[in-house]
Amino acid sequence: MAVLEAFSYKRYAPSLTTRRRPPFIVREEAFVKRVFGRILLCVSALAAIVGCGESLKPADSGAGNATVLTYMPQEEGGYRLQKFELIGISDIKEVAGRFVNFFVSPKIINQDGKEKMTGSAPRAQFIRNTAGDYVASDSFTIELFSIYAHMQKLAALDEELGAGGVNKWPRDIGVAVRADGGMVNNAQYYGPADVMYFVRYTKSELPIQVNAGVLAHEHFHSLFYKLVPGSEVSRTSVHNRLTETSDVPPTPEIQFKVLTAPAAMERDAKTDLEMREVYFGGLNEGFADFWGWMYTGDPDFIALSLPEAKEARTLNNGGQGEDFLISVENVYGTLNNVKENLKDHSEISEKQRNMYYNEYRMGYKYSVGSRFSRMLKKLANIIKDGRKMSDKDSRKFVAKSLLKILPSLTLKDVSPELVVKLLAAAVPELGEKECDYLRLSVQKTDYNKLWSCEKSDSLWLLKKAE
Amino acid sequence: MRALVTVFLCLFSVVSFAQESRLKIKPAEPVPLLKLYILDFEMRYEKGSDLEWAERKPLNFAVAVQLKKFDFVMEYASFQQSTGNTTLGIDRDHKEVLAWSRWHFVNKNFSETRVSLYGGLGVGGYEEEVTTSTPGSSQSDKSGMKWMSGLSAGIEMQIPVTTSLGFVGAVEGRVLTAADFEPNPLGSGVVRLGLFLNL
Repeated sequence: MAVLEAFSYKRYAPSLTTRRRPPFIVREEAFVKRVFGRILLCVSALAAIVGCGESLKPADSGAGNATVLTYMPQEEGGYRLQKFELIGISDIKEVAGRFVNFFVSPKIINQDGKEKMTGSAPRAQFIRNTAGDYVASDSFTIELFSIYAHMQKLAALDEELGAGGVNKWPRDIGVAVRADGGMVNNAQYYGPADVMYFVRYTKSELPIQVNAGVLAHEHFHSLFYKLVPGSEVSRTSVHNRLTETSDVPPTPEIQFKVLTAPAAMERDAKTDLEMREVYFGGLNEGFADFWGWMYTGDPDFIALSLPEAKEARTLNNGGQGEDFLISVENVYGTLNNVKENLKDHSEISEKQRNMYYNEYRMGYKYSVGSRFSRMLKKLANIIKDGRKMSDKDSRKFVAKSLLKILPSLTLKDVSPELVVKLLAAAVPELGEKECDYLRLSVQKTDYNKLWSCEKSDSLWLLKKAE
Repeated sequence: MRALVTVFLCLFSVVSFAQESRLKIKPAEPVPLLKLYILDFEMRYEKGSDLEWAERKPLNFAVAVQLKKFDFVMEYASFQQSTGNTTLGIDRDHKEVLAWSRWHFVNKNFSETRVSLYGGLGVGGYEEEVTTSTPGSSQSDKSGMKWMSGLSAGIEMQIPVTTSLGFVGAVEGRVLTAADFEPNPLGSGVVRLGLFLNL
């Protein structure tokens, strides 16, 4: 009604002005009213169209599926820009939907005794090209697209591998996280709140947020946390420190002397738990690295984002360390060695010594874990050759077996012998070569006992001599 | 597109009506001016997808025709934004054209210098081109022309040098709106320097 009146006024206003012949100043006022009335009406209508109308179009609201341009790994290797359909998008501006809810610079709060991630949703920046695809207009948005795409794929992979009901979807994921100490170039899974989060990537290589292997690695931590009994008490096992790639922590002042024999170590309950936590954490990291390879097929997926980690974290044999599993006794010995060495350094404070030791202990997890990831990869290759499987299928085959053993792992009994024994039992119709490889893996670690592969009812069984 | 034509017709009709009024009502009024804003410094703040504020400094040119207390301005602005790294980089190229209609509602003369306060309304369009670059390949996509509009307020000073030529300078604040702007509306400030010519 108001709009009609405005038009009506405009139509008759000039003639009224002419008829009454008002003085110049009055004419000017009328002129201003007429002119600005018209402009105001036009611009208001346009502003309404521009500001609101377009955003109300169903195609732009992003409800349902959205095809985005993202940077995805290829089975034949490398990454390529490609279209990818994000499923179940409820708000494309927030890149939120069935698989992910993002939080920018989030906080973890305690709500009703449960930890929870809170924060603002991102506001993705993109254009829609002539084909109607969403094309990120900044790198942060393409990272959001990438994370969503991989979470969607990993959800499907969970279903395929038999872990469909383990995680709750959508996953809560923190991005542009401001971590203590200004940490950059890292991603973590935090079990108590069941969240994954990413700090800024500042290097010139593939951003961690786009690195499919790293996303699968972090995703695996959520499976480990939920499937392995006792993970919740071992906080070290659910913290991934991707930058902690070497056995040598970053404070270089300390020169170690090599002790000829492992120093006697207090094996009290506290120390025992501490060491087993390192081992447990190592398993978690190693299995997660395997998961990254299983998902991407790239044994050096971490090095794509963190080249300095290549030697320590490669899944190819010939990487840092020999091709055998580290025993729990090795962990005791190595860490005790560090402790003993640190006692000689009276020039640094007790607090610094503890910090150094803890850094070393955390870093040592990756040494433990890498042996397991390489073992699993080699087992997959043996299965591929022996059973004439495709590379991808053999990776998934081992992943299924790995998922089966997780509920049987316990912090109390963790050891390479337990892992290998469980794995041998979990691999369906274990073949001779497969059994023999597992036997060798465990024999190299546990050289005090004789391990053997025995055939029983056409199946091979891995056995330990009594 | 029809709406754009309607708006331009509307704005042109306003301008032509204004000229007619001047001739009819007050022939002795100052002659129309052509204003060329050749040195414009614009600054606007956008909210990034990570919710951080980011400063943009668009390249801005404008040309205006002033008739009495009204002027009609055609403005072009563009800026580039680069994010990411050498492995995955994204370049965004933003271009916009706005037609402003402004009313100089307060006009004061100090000797030869004329100072005015003005407010304006603008409509136009913008287009963005995004180039996604990876080692060995890149892809460019365009958004196509999209609507935008704006409101502005500012102060302008005209300093004649000869009877038909002078300098013009303005400081202007405005809000720009479009469906995809973040935030919407978006704040912007511009300092304009240029020349005016008597037509």
